[in-house]
Amino acid sequence: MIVFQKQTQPDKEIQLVVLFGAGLIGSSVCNKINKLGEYSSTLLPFSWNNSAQSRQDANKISLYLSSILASYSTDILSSGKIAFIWTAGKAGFTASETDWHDELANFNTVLSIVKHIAEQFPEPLLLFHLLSSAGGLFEGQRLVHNSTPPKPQRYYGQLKYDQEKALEQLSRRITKTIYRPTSVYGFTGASQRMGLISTLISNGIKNKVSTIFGSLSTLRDYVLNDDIATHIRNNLFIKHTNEDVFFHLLASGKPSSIYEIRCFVEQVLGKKIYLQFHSTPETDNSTDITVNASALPPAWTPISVKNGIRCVHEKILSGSDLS
Amino acid sequence: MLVINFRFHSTHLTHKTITKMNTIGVSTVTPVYAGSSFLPELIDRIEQIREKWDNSDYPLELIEAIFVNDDSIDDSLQVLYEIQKEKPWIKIINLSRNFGQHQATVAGILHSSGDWVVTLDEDLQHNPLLIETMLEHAVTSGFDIVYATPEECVHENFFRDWSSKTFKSIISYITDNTHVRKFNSFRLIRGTIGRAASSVCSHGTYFDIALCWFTNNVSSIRLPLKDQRFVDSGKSGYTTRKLFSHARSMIVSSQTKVVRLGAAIGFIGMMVAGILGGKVLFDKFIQPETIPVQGWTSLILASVFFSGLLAVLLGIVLEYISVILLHIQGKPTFFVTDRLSDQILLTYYKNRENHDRLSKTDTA
Repeated sequence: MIVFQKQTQPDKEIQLVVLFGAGLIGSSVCNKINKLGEYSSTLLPFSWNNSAQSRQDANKISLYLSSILASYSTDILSSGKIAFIWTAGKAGFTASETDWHDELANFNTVLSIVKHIAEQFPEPLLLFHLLSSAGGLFEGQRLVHNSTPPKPQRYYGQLKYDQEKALEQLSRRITKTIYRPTSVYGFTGASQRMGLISTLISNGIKNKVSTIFGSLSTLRDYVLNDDIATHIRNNLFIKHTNEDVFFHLLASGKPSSIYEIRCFVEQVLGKKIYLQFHSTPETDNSTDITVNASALPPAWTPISVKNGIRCVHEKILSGSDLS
Repeated sequence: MLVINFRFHSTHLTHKTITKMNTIGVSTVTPVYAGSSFLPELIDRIEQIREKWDNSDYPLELIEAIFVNDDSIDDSLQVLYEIQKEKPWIKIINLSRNFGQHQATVAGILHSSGDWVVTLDEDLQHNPLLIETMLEHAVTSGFDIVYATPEECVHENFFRDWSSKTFKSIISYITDNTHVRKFNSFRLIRGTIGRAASSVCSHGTYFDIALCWFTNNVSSIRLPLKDQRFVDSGKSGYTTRKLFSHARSMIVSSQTKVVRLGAAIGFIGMMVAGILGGKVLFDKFIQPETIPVQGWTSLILASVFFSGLLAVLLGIVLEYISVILLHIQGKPTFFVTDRLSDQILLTYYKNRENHDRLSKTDTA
């Protein structure tokens, strides 16, 4: 996990940003915060695989944050804000029951840090930004709207649902923002977990076969990780009230079939890509998930999937180890 | 309690499949260019069928009505925005400039989520209430695309209807695509196929030809259609220029028969020239007295032979170009589609039929 501490003159802005999970979206959020040029970052250990260790790490993180907050003047504490961001997610669509328990335990450990800080320091406004998943919550549902009830179909979706519920139960003093992105694509390095689009591009460049766990007709709504990161960063700095839980459905509002994505990727690469289709009950991911465009938040400005594919292609070509 | 391991098998329907497929979603797509006076009534009619399905046990749901504003020349966009305030199931797509009806239709289909997509004209020529009839025809006969063809003169003008029919017949012959005669802008398309065809549509691709790349299960059904705009004003949305533009797109999007026909004629010319050349040579050496004018026959035969050779070679080159063009346009080598969801409607129709039969028996 990473702690960003404001280095310029303390004011009413966010003083601390505590980010858990620097994956596809998390690392992009880190970049956006770093680009502001106002925050220094510190990397602290947080174990994702050992719950006993993660609880110990959480205690150390709490102490570290407390020491920073204790050094602030009363004025800063009364007007400043601390933001916690959860962009972690080791378990994907194929998460098992064990993954579900482990990740939920990690999330609850992080919530305990927030609770501890809230109890120790009653003054600064606390913000919690949770990255959930529209794909997990609304699997198999079409034209999802803000009022559509989540119906998780697998452990991954249930995990996201449980995380949202756990966050909602936190004190009303904490402003909660829950982001529900649809199918996220992007590229932050070959070592990171890759989604459908970056896999198709990467394998296409290498003339390798990509395996699709669905069908060519599967409809999804694709959003670029960079767009989500920009939206989260922008949301950190808007005026907050601690009244409600805010839900942001992050989608493009335009469904795309895998066939359409394949055509775009082939156009960008200028050659045919190789596909094979494989599905077992555990990996089957062929249900449609689409979002109603009118449900999107007002300040959300995603780029088209075609342009996004071009961006990812550029990133893969310029910054990756394609070996 | 979580239930996982759902899987869609062709041999059996699992719990999730049934849940997912309880209702069949239908999207409508309407390109808008100058329809402000027609749109309120069109939307009323769409709403009628939407409510009818909602309030009955028909396993259908009109999930969205997509209107693609193709840089309309009247206040259609404002009319749509005004209506959308009360009807959130209306989706408006605003194109940056006028791209044309086909491109607007393609854009609309690419924004759709329905299991079936119906394309409608803005001018009330196509009655949304007929969607049910088209859908029943498609599902009961296993079609992926159903075009509506007019029962009688759609323009109430013999020459206009005759020219339209003749034009389609000529294009059908040239492109070697028998479905061309059925083409109409009132179509019901299986969503997966409509979206796949829309994905590959590019400059010069004719959308209906692209649809035929993905399926051969194309049918038409005779329905009462009227081009009210033409009947009222005598003006059709299709000018002669547009018709020729459509013809060009259809020919470019197809592997044309003309190319092969030209090559075949050239080959026949070559053969004839070869045979006759042999006869001339025979006469020249065996019975030279039968040739009154020296040199003329050889000249004509050489000319026919080499013209034929050139026609054959040109045919081969054009065939290559045609293959490359289709490759660039995205004609697929294969496409997979799932028609199992039709079972829900088939079961419904069967139950309805049984119910009607029983009712009749009871009445008797």
